[in-house]
Amino acid sequence: MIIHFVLNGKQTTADVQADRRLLDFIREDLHLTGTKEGCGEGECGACTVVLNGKAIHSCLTLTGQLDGGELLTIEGLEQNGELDEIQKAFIKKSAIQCGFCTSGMVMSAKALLMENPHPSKEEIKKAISGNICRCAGYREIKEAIQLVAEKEEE
Amino acid sequence: MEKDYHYIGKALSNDGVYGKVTGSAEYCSDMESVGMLHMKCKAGEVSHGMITRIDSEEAWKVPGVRAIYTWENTPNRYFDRGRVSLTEADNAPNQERLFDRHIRFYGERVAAVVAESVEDAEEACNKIKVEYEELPLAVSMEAAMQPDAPQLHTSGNVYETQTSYGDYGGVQSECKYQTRVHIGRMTHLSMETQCVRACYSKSERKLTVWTGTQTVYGARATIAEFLDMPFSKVRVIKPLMGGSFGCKQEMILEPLVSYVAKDLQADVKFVYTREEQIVNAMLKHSLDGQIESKVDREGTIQGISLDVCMDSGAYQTISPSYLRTIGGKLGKVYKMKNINYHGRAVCTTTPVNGSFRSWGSSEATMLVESHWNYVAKQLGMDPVEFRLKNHLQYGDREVLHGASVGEVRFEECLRQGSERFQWQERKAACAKKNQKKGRYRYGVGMALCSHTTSFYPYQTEVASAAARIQDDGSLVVHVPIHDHGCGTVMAMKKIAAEILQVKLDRITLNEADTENMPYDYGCYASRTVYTLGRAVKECCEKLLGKAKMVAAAQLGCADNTILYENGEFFSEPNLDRRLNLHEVWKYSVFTMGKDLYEMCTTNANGNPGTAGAHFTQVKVDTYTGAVEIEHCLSVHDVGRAINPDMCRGQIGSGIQQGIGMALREEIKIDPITGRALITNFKNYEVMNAADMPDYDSLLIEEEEETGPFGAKGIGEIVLAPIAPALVEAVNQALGTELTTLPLTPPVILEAIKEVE
Amino acid sequence: MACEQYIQPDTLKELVTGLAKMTSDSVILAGGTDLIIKLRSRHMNPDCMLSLCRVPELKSISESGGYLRIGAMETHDNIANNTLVRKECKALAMACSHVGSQQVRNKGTIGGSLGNASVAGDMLPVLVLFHGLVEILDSAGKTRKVDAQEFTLGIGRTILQPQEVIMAVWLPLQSHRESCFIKLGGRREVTIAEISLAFSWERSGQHFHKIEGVLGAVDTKPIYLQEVDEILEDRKVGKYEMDLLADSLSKRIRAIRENRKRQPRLRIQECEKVYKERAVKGIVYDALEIMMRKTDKKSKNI
Repeated sequence: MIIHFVLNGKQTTADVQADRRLLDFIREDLHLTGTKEGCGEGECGACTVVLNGKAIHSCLTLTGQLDGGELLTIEGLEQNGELDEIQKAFIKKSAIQCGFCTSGMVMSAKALLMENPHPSKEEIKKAISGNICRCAGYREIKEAIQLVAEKEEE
Repeated sequence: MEKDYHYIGKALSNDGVYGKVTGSAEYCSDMESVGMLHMKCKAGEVSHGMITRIDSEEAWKVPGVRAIYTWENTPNRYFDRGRVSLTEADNAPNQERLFDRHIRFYGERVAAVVAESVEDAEEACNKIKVEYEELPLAVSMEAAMQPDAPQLHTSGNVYETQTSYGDYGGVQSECKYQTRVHIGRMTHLSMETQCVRACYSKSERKLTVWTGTQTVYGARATIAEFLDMPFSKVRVIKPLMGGSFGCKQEMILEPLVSYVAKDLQADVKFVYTREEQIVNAMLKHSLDGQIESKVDREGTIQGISLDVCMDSGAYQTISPSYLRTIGGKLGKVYKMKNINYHGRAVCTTTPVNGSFRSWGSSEATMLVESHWNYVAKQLGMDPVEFRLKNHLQYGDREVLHGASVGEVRFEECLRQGSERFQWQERKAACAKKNQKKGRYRYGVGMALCSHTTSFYPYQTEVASAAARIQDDGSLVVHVPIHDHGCGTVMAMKKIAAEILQVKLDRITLNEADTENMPYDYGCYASRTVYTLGRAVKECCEKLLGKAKMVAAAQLGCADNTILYENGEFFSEPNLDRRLNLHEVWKYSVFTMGKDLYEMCTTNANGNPGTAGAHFTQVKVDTYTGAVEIEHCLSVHDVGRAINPDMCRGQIGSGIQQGIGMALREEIKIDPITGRALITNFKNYEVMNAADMPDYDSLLIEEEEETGPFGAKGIGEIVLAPIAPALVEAVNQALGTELTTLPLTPPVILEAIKEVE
Repeated sequence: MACEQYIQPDTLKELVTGLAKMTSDSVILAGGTDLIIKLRSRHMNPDCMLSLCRVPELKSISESGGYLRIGAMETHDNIANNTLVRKECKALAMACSHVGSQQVRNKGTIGGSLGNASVAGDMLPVLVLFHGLVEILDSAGKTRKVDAQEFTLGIGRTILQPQEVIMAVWLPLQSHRESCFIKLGGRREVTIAEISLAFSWERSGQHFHKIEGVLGAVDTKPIYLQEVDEILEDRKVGKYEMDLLADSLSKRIRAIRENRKRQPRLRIQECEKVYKERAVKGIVYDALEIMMRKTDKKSKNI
C-alpha cells in the first residue's frame, strides 16, 4: 500500500505493508530507533509518538493508519541543532536515567504542551500516567514538564 | 565542612543525556547490521514433563528460516547463569543447558528459530509441534519438599543453609515474639527487556557479544568456557542498558545467542518480548519467613531466630547465594549477641526466581523490620525509640562476618529523619483522625536498614582503572563500568574531572569491554562508585603526579613545587608561565620520550554500611481497601553524593518499587498448574505518575573516609526499607497485623473484616 | 499477525463495498488499541482487515432530532472534551476521560470499544444508562439502530454480523437530567475497572427523582439497577440510603459470582473472589457523593 504522510515535518511517500505495526515501520524501515518497545501492548508508553498532534502508542497502530497523517517522532524535536524546550528541560531537571522511557515520556509531554501550553500539575500527571519509568519516582519528569509549562507563561 | 568542588556533588544531569533525549543513543536492541539474523524461542506448553517429540517440518517451510535448535542438536553441557567471576564456577549449581529435554516450568524454552526477520522466526516458532510426557507437579514449596515429591534435579529440590552466632536457644528471656512474613513474586520491570547480540567474525574466528549485562567478564567466562573458546576469541561489550534492577546480572540469553552466532558464523540478535521477560528471565523470590526474637522488658534485643523458605522456581541458579546473603544481613543493623538462621531454597515447577535489586536486603529488611515494629508495639515503645536503643554504632563489628560496619549513621538517619518527617506529630494526628472511626483511616510507619558498598571481606575487592592524556590534552579513562542508567559513568567522569581538572566533555570514558579494559567483577553490591571510583581517583592522582614531574622538568623547577590549578601547571614565583595538559603531554612525549598514562589497581579493605530509614504516612479506604500514600521520606547516609540528583532519582525509584512490593505488584502463579498468570502489565499495575506520592528525600552527607571523595553506595538500599514501613503504616491505620505481601485491596478488606 | 488484505476506505461508499468482502475470519480496525493486542496474542491472521480511520461519516459529534449522535470513530479523548457531551451526557464524558492512558484515549474509539465488548469496558454501561442506540451499517449500505442493552451478547460477543459495522451511537438528549460515572480500579489513572457505576437523575432541591443506575464490569453485560429508584426516589440521601443501595449491589455481585461456572483466574484467594461485593460500598458512596454535590453543569473537572 502506498501511503503519504508527513514525517517530522517532511512530506513522505512510502510503499508499506499496511498491517505492520507502526512501531516496526518506524524502527526498522525508517531506521528511527529512538522510539522504543517496552511492552508491545500499550501499557508502558515507551513507543509513544505524536500522530496528528496526539500522543499515541506506535505499537498499537498499524502503518496503514498513518496514511494522510502527520507523524512526529523523538528524532523530529530537535530543530536546526537546537533541542526542543521539553528536551532541554528533561536535561536540566535530571529527568533522564537509563533513557529507555525517555523518548516516549518526552513525546507524551510534547503532545500535552502542544495542546495545552500551560498544564496544571494534575494535567501533567494525567498526561504521562501511561508512561512507565522505573529508574526514578516521576518527580524529575513532572518538574521538567512543569518548567516548560511555566516558562511559556512568561 | 563543605569542600568546594568543581564537579563532585554538583547536579549535572546524567551522562549521555543528549543521545537519550534525542533518541539517537543506541541500545542493544537498536543495533542493526546487513544480514543480521533474528531469534525467537518457542515456549514449552507443560509445567513439568519430558519432551517426547519435536516436529519442525512446518517451521522449516517458513521463508527466511535459517536454523532451528532444540535439545536434540545442541550440546549436552551445563552453564551457570549466575556467574559473576571466573572463580565462581563451583559456587553455584550448574543445572542449565541451552535446551533440556526435561521441561520444568510452563513457558520454558523448548526450541529456538533463527531467521531473517523477527516475524519469520515467530511464525516458525508457532509452527513447531512439541509432544510431552507430562510429569507430576510440585507447584508449592510445601509440595516440593515432600519426600515423594517429583525431583526437578538430580541434586534434589532443596538447598539448605544454616548460620548462627552466640546461643539463641540458650537465651533466657521473659519476652519472646513471633511473626511471619510472606513476600510475593515481582518482576523487575526494567523498561528494556533482555537483549543480546552476538556476531561471529569468520576472518578472525572470534565472537563479539553485546549485552546490557552487569558483568562483561562474568559473561565472557561463561560464554567462552561453554563454547570451548579461548578468552582471547570472545569479546563482550556492554552497550547502553535500559535498566536492570538485577535482571541483567544473570546469563539468560548470552550462552544461547553466542552459541547460535558461532554455529551459523553470523550476526544474531535476540530481544525478549515483555512476556518472555516476565516468564523466562527471572522474578523476585517469593518467600515465607518465621521470625522469633527475645527482647528484654526495656526493649533491648537479646537475639533473633529466622527461618526462611524461599521459592527458587525451576532452577536453583543464584538462589543458594541469595539465601545465604539474607541470613548474612541479620547482624548488620542492630547489636545482636545471638543469631540463629535457617534457610531453605526450594525448586518448584514454576518460573525461575533470581537476582533482584538489593540481593536479599529488601527481603531481610521486610522480615526483620516488620518484626521489630510488632515488638515495639507489644512493648508499648515508639518504633523509632526502639531502634535508637538497639542500632549498631560507628565502627562496631557485625558479628556474623566480624567486619566493621564503618561509619554507618543509623542514629542520624533516625533522628534527622523523624524530625524532618515530623514523626511524632504525624503519628498523633493520625491517631486523632482515627478516633472518628470514619471511612478513611490513617497511619504512619517506619523502618531502618543498611546495605553494603563492596564485596569486602567476602571476596578480594579489586578494582582497576587506567587513564591517559591524549595529544590535545583531553583524557581517556578505561574503567569497566556497567551503568544501569543511574549515573555511574557520570560519577567516574566527575571523579576524573575533579582530579585532573579536565572538562567533562574532554573525557572519554566508555563502558565495560573485555577487550580494552581492566578486569572487574561487575556492577554488584552497590560497589561501583565506592570501589571503582576509588580506582579512578587514585589512577588520576598518580597520572597527575606524573604530569607534574614533566611540568617540573619543563619549567625547570623542583617536582614538589609544581602547582596545578584550573588545568594549568605553574610554580611560584613565576606565576605567569603556565602549562596546560596538552603542552605537558607534548613535552613528555616529544622531548622526554615518555607517554603520559597510568594504570592502577586498588583493593578496598572496607565495606562501610550505608544506612537508610524510611518514614511514611498512609490513608486507607476501609470501604475499598485502597491505600494512598500521603507523604513519605527516605533518608540515606550516602557519604558524599557524587551525583546528588541521580541519588534522589534512585531514591524515587526505590520508593516506587518498594510501594509495588508492599502494596500492589505480584506475578501470580496458578496454584494448580504453576503457570505465571500475569505476563504483561495490564494486570500488573505499577505506580504511575498519577499514583506516585510527592516523596521527600534526605541525604546525610558525612564523608566516608575510605570512599572516593567520601562516597558510599546508594543503588540498592533505596528499596530495602520501603515495604516494612508501609506495612506498618497500614497496620497502624487499621489495628491489624498484616505481613503478607502485597497488601492488595482484597487482602486489606479481608483484614478489616477480621478485625471487626 | 498478518492479514491477506488490508482495506482502508476513504468514503462511505467504499466502506460499504469493503464490508461486502468481509467474512467470519475478517476483522474491523477502528483505533486498534484492543484489536492489535488480540491479533498478536492469539497469532491470528485474518483474511481481511477493514480499517475505518479515513471515513468522514464515522466521525463528528452532533445534535440530531433530539439525539446526540457520536460517530463510531470518535476517540475517547474527543468525546471527553466535547462541550456538547459534557453538557448533555456528563457520565459519558467522565467515562471517556478515564479510559486507559492518554495514548489510548487519543486512539481508541467509542465504536471500537463497543465492538470489542470487554467486560470491563466503560462505554456500554453509560450507553445503557442513557438508553442509547447503536447504529449499524451493513454491506448493502443500509443502517439499523439497536438498543444498547441488546447490542452485547456476552464477553467479546455482539450482535454484529461479519458484514456489519458500527456507524454511530445515539443518545437521547435530556437536558433536565444530570449524570455521573465512576469506576474502581487498582490505580487512579490507567486502570481497568473492577466495578463501574453510572447514575442519572433529576434534581429538585436536595431530592432526586427518576434515578437510574447501571453497574458495569461485574458481569458479562452491564446491569440496569431497578432498585436505585426505589431506594433513592424523592429522598434526601444519607448513610442509610447509601448502605441500603451498597448492600443491594453487593448481593447482586455475590449472586453473579455464585452462579459463575469458572472463577476469574487471577482471583485465587478467597478474599480476591469476594472483593467486588465488598468494595462496591466504596464506589456507591463515591457516586452518591458526586450526585449530592450541587453540580455546576459547566464544571471543568470531571
